[in-house]
Amino acid sequence: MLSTRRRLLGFLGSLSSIRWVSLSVYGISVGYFLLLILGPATLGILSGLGSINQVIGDQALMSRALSAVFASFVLATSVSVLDILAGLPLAWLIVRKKGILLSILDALVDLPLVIPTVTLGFSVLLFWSSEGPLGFLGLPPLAPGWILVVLLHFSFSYPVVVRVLVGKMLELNLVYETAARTLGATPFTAARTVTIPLFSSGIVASFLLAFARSMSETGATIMVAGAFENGPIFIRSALNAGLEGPLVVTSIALTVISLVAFYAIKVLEVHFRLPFRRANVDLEKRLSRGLVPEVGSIAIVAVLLFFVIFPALSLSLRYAPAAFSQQISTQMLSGSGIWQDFWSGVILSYSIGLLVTGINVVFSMPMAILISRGRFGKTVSTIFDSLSSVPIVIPSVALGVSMVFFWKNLAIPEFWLIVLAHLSITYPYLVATLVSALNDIPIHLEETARTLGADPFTTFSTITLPLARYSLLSGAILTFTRSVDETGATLAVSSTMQTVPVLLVNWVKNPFPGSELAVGIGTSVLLLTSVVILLVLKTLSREKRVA
Amino acid sequence: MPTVDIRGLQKKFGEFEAVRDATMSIGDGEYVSIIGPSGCGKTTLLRMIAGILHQDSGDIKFDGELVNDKPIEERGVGYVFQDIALFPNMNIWENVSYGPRARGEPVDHIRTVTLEMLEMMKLSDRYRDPPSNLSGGMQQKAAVARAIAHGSKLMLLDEPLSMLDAKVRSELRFELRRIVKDLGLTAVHVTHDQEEAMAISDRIFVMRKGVLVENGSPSDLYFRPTHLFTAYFLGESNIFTGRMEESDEDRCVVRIGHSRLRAVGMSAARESKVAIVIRPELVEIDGSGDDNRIEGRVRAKYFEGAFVRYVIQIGDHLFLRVKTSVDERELGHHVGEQVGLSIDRDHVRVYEFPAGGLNKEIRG
Amino acid sequence: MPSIELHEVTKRFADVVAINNVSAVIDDGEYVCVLGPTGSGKSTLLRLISGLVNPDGGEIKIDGTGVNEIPPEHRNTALMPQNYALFPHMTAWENVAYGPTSRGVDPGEITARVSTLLKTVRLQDWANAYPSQLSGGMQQRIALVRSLASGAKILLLDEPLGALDARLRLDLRRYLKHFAKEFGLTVVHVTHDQSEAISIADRIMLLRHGRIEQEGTPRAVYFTPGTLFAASFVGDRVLMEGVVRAVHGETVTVEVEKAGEIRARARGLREGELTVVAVRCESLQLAHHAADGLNRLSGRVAEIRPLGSYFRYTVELHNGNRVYSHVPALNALGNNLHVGSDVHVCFATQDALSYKYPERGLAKEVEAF
Repeated sequence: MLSTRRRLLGFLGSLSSIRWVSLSVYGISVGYFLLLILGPATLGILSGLGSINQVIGDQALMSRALSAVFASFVLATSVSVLDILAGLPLAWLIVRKKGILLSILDALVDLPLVIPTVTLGFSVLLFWSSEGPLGFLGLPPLAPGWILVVLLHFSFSYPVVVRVLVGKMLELNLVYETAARTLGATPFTAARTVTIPLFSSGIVASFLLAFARSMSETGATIMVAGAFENGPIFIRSALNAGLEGPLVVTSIALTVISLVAFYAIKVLEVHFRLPFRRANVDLEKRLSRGLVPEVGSIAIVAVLLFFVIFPALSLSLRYAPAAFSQQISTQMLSGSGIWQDFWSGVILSYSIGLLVTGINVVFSMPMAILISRGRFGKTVSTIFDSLSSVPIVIPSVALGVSMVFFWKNLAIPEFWLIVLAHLSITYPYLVATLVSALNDIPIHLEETARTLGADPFTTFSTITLPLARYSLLSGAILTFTRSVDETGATLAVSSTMQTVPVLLVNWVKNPFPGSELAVGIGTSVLLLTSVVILLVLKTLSREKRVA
Repeated sequence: MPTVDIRGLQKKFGEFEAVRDATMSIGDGEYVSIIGPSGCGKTTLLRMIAGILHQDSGDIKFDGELVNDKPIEERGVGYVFQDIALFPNMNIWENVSYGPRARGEPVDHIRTVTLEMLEMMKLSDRYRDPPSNLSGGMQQKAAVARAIAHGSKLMLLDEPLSMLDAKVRSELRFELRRIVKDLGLTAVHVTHDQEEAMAISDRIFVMRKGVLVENGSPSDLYFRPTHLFTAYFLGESNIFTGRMEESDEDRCVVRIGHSRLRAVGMSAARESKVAIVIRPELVEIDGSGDDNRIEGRVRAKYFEGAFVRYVIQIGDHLFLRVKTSVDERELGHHVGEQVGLSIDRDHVRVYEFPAGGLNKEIRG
Repeated sequence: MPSIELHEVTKRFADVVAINNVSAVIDDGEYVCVLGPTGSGKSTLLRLISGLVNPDGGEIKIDGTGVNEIPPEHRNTALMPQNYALFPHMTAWENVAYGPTSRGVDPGEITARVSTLLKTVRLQDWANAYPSQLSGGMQQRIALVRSLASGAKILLLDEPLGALDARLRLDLRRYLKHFAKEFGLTVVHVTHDQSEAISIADRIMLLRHGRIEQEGTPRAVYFTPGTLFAASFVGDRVLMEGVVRAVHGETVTVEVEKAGEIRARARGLREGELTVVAVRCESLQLAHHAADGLNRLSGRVAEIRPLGSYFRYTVELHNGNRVYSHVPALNALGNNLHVGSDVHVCFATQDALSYKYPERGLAKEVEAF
């Protein structure tokens, strides 16, 4: 007798063989994407076009809006360029050299990735203030302002860039570089003429990722900006003042600039080629071996440590001990005063996170399969691949604004607005992870399963899912962390509810007695949970490599 | 025009001995192949000669000069890869001219040499194409052109034809030999395809489990192999277990089952177990030779294009595979037919019976 | 009843026609080899039969029923790709059991079936091993019984021997045929290796640019290739260009430039037409004196290479062309020809096939690389 479970699976399986059933599954997934993710994120803002007149007439407001947008663009571009220049050598080191030291570096690079950006913001603020090493060395501290913003953006985008570069480098087939060497090219020449061009897509991808993150980042930027004003900061001021016009203008401007920059760079990638007529053999030989590369390696590691790792860690080193003091911990645990807000914020953030992860995983899977397996043709796959990455391109605060406008007439409760915003923002990351995981599973395996008698659903559950489970889990965890970390859109969308990042930003911008300590401890708590999550991720990825 | 001298080369990967005490000498202008089953270490050996892998111990000399410490780019070898490895981000011209460009040669020299190479490989009209536009065979020719263009006189080929269609393979192999000989290069060609090795080499090295077992001209190795493994790996063989009856250095008599055969010379004790090798194509049906005449019955017959393969039963348990050339009009012999076979004694070769048994010796 | 029927099947990918109006019938229990160069559409044909892709035109029938709308899991076919596609996260046993498990077969029956099959291929001791622990040959056997276990009667093999060493390829060729016959399977075996197809197929279909160029028994395709492409693809042949000087029913007299006249078999050629004559290398006999009744071209031995069971003699004809004669080892060892010997290259009219000179030139037509 077949158990109920087997009966159910069998039923689902036979359903999946029916063409229109599987078509509708894809249809629902696409519909979800268009109506709940893409639509609100892009179209909402258009309904606010009317209020533009508020701004266009006002000269001062207009120029302020435009300079804010311009500042965002310049910031993002320069930080991304710095990231690539400093990231390439480090990625090279990690991939090519072996040894314990490099494994440690490899793990370190990951650290800032899991620290919530608000924590990072506060940490950076501390590190470069008079209480950090600068003060220790008797040097003038860095006050909140554009320099601090650059350092902050560098510290959270650099690890992302290095991760992507390392990943792409590991995928490279070394045979090309070896071939170049056998043809007489020094290691440096081979690297610059063969290896690097071959993974230019990786360089472009990491550049765009860093660019997008910088354009989007809100919470931490607010903390360290001082008088500096970029797009998201300006929008927040507009929100606080209740002015709709500047909100809409800036959001549209930010979105347009991002989209244009994104696609311009992609086009450029295809056509851009560094010419190579003859190698300067002596110079390149010297760059390949001996003193120059050695010194360079040390310099890169120094950059990593002093501009990224130490600033990221300074917070916990300072405040973590304080959290363990008797008095504070009793206050925290009893939930008195500000701590009540904190804990409700934590509960809010985590429940939103879980909800968002759950919903997105279910609805994005068919989309990922559509893109990866090309069921409906290559063009369709490419279109959806590009479209699904649009929410990343739109700065999160602009996205939040657009969402508000889109759902305005439907009187949706605030909680669900936040959920919708987070769904939009995390969707591209999840789809990208899933597509990548699916691409790693040879399609032959699934096809063979089908010819052996397994219907699409059975094939999915017995072949695809088991082989992709580690990547799936990593994707889910990253979605969760991204949601918990999210500040920009949440600020735009929420008025009464406070997720943890929003809470912390408010504490920094509206200080009260003991607020600094509270922020310190609050961010440390977040840091702790993030470290746990990082460990889980690392264990998962190690298991994946073994399996 | 380098000679290559390898002495005592050793390479271990963890516990696994990939290459053990490899010693070989290659003369100037020789085309040499290294053959063996997958995993026998031949590619590892080739990579050490190129400098891609570094040996644990042993010496490599080009033209008498020690190259152990020279990095890849200074060894002056042309390497052709199994997966072709044409740079996908460059067109054919840029690929072929890469070597001279990377070595900072003068611009007109680069132009001349590249044109010459493309001309020689009959690729002159494809120079603007990206590699992906060319067929497999053409891609590999371009890769060979690239390896030669940079001026090296020593060519190392790592299974260069294994990714290509069978037909292209059988044509390109002769092309390769022609090019190497016309240009006076020295070549070391690694392959698991013994037919390929026979077609192109001046000399063949047989490798097995990291050890160079035997070497010689294709003829010598094929008709007079010294090792049982060579007899098995090169071409096809009937391999039987038998007993020595009369042993002598010049001539022997051996016994398989109840059949007595005159064989080539080998020293072994009477009644000792021996392995007997007879190549299918060297058995004549209805032949005139006197050394060995046996009767048998045709049990199976297979058409193979240029040959017909018979399985002939001799006595109760002996099955001999025989290959004869075919004629469209002649129907040959039918299954069940009684036939007379004749085998020259020089074509019955005898070897010491391997300690671990036949199967283990051959299939490892 | 025929196992597989293809009626005017066409399949397009973007603007490339992969399969162009192909019709074929494969009988129950037949072992058919689909032979062709890379890009001829052979893999696409398998995928069409298995149901992984659907035809743009035409109909496919399996066991008499039209299957155009039927998904792969409901067809009676099993597809084995070149690298076997064993499921890496399952043991050998679980791999073999996959088919019947997916089809909902009773677990007791599955156990019996799997253990019997594993015993048949002598891998019962490896039931709990993972694919990564098995050698190439073992993986192939597991893949074969996995197809069998699913109950499929039609086996579709995509270059099944491609991933193996040359030596192993020869050894395992026979095994595939024997396996198929023992279990009464219909097999469609795709390959680019003509010697493989010739030695194991009941019937060969030569595919080129998505069309069937010729089909027939190995003997028919080998001895009587219908087109110039088939003549150059199957077997080793020498191609000689010439002009038709006279037509006598089934034979023609062809003048080969500066080499004299030869007689060849032909169909539909006219006097004055350009032609290409194809002769199998093993049909070219080398002799000091020509026998009567045979075609004769004179030249000098330029090279002799032992290739194992035969020797390849390169003869430079007096007109500058080179021809290759394959001489069986026994003959070669016994003859007294050496490099520089003057020889006559002789062959029977029966062994010379004459074709119309191709419009796009000889090199392009025979797809010389």
